[in-house]
Amino acid sequence: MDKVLTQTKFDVLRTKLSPTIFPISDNSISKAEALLEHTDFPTRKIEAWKYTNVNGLNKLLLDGKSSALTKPNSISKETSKKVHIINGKISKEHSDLAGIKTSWNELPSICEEDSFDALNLLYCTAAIELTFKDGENKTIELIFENTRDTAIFPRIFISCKESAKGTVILNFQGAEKNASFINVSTFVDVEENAHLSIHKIQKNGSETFDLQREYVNQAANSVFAINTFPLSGRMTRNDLRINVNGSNCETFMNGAYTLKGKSHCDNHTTVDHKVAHCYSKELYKGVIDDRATNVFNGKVFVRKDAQKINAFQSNANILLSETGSVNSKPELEIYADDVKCSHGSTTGQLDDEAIFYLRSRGLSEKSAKELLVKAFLGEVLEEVDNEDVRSYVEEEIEKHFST
Amino acid sequence: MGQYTENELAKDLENQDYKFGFVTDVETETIPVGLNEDIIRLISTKKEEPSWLLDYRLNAYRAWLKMTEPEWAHIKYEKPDFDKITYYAAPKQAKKYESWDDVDPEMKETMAKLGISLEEQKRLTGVAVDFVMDSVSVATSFKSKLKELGIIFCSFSEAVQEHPELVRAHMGTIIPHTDNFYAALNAAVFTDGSFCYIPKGVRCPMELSTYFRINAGGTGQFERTLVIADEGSYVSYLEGCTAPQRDENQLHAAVVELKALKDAEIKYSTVQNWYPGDKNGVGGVFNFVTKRGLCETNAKISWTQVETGSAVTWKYPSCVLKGDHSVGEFYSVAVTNNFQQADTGTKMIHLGKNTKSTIISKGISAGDSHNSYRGLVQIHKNAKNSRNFSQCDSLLMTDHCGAHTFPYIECKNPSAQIEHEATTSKIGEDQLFYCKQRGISEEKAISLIVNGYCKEVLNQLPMEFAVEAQKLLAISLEGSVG
Repeated sequence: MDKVLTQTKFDVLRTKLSPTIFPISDNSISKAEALLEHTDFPTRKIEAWKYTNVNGLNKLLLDGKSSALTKPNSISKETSKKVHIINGKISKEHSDLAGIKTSWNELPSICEEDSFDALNLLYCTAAIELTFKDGENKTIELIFENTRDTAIFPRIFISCKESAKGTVILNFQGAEKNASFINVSTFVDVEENAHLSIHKIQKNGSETFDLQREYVNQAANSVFAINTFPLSGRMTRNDLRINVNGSNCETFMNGAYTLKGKSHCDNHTTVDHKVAHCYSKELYKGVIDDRATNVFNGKVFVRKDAQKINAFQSNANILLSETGSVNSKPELEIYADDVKCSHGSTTGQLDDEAIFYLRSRGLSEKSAKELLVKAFLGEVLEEVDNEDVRSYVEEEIEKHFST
Repeated sequence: MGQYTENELAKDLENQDYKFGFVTDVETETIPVGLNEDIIRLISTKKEEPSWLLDYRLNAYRAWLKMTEPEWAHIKYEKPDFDKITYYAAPKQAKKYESWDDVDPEMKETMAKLGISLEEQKRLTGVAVDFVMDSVSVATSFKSKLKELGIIFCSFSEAVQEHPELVRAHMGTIIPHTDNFYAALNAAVFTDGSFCYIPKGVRCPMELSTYFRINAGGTGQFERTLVIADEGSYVSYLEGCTAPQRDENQLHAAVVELKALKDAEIKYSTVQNWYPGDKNGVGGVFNFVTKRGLCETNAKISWTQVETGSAVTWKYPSCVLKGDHSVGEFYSVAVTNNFQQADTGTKMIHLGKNTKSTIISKGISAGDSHNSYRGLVQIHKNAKNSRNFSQCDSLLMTDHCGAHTFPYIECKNPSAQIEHEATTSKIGEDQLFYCKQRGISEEKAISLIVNGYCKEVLNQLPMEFAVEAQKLLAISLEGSVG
């Protein structure tokens, strides 16, 4: 049989999806289709997917079976805008949509050659634009509640205007046994002198596949921070690409993950320092238990002439079980000489002596371990400036060990 | 240094015990250009090899045909045309220069700086003097001593003839002929190399070096080294030449296999200084080498390398820590200047319990060069209590060179401890200022600082090697102050 005629893995997946209701230009459609045509899912032979196998995606039935979400909790307690996206679609009755763009004459086209982004465009279920203007300093929380086994394709545009300050909470909550396919593309624009923080919580159902991409552009004198917390889910993959286009920028990337069961978590981050005088700091820490797998790939690019860059990158893992595995790949690619760049990666276990110390003071082995893990992840949580997010994640970590 | 004329040379020759005379054209026969099964058969016949070796070559060749050249390394080069290479050339000690005066003055100067004796310089440049004479006696005296201890140290072809059982049992067991593109190519067409066997419980009394083994002086582009250290033995092996041999060969695809049996230790040191191409990046050697060692219980393999030459280097000396309590070490200094590119590092595969590995890699980039560290630390399920420490530092000398780090860390055992750290920076202005303030010229100061920076690795080298390596570093970085 002619090989071209066989169904590719993307073709199989697409038979279960219904096309977007949002208008897309013919040009964008053909661009996206070209990326999906005759294409299979990325295999281990592709460097960026060396440790992550997404073939299980096609085992998802996506039949709409529902299971109740115990507590569709919003994280931010303070007065903030909240938008509820229930099973991929914006719930207008539960959301405060003033000043948030949700209807489109035409969806912007894909910006990078990525098959999953092309899929996101063609099957987009919700397109949301958040804009932060100077003097507002507001917090917007997007709450994604997944109660049905379905595929959701949110496309999020975040624009932080000149000198504005803003906080976005992306809160993904899935029912316990939920088996959805979440595919999110987020486009972030941080203008001059702006300050934007994004907090992302991924508390998905145990069978959910969550593939997300963030494309960030930073202009001069801006600050951008992103905190990622993959807490549960069958598979979580985050591709974070930050272009630092202006000088005097600061970029912070933090992540904490607690994995157990069969979950697989993959964080890919890229910071591209294109101009001089910038600072970036990355810290990802996590604990891996049961048969879970963690992948970390951090890339720091320092382009030619981007002098006086200080870039730090760190990844630390604690492996708690015989069956778990950790893959870490911190990379530096540097083309300028007057820079200070460093990275570190460690993998190990809890310190026996520390456990002994705590036990000798009357703590049970379990609580001693819990305390040490909390302290270990605490370093990441200290970097989180939003009180609500921090206490929520702390609570979740506690719950993680009590169940 | 005084001029050394042809007359003086002739006088010298007269005074020496002259055995073999000038190298004549007898041995310089070559075979047709290109690669196919007939060529491989021809090589095998010429070397009078047993049929199993020919089969091995042919299998490798057939596997190679199905492979594609690896492209993942962070290097750019024009791929060699494998049909335009002559796969069997007679040893290279054919005379290149009619007299010492014809030798490139730049090269003479370099060698003088390295402190190489005049005789040695002539040997290295291939001036029409038979270099064999001087060292032959040295070599033979060493050889008899080694023989007493039962140590076998000979060329690969010799080993195939004289110890076929050893070669057959171990060759290709660590790097199979299907391992990678260049290893397969090497397995198909290798012409010679070194073979070394240390018997049980023997501690080799001297550093074994290809320098002493005369017939290895001109081994071709595809050399193969096999070192076997039997139970409880120790050997320190030196590879490479420390002087800038102007080798015009475009492609070097060597294979080095080390096997350290129970309680054995192998120390393998390399100083690689092939022709790096000229200042504009024209010419130079492509160095695509596969090196791997296997450690049985309690064994230790230590790789030390100083890489200053070659236009393109693609080299990952690795340790498979199969036995419990085995130890792998990797110490590397890689210097790139002008348009050189190096993608080098190591793989530490922890299979056994309580295995330990240390990686110290120092990269120095100057000019328009690119220097990458690429390493893998893999802890397998059963590798309980394994330990790894990696440190990869890069030093940038100019604003148009590049330094990159690609470490892969894979861990499947919860009792393992892995640490990796890397830094990239340039030479501190304050350090330079301090030296200059005390009357040390900028160039000398840089050489001083770079040597200090590499000390950790250079300390691992055998004494004479370390001295030469230090000088080599200074030469490689000459004029690279940016």
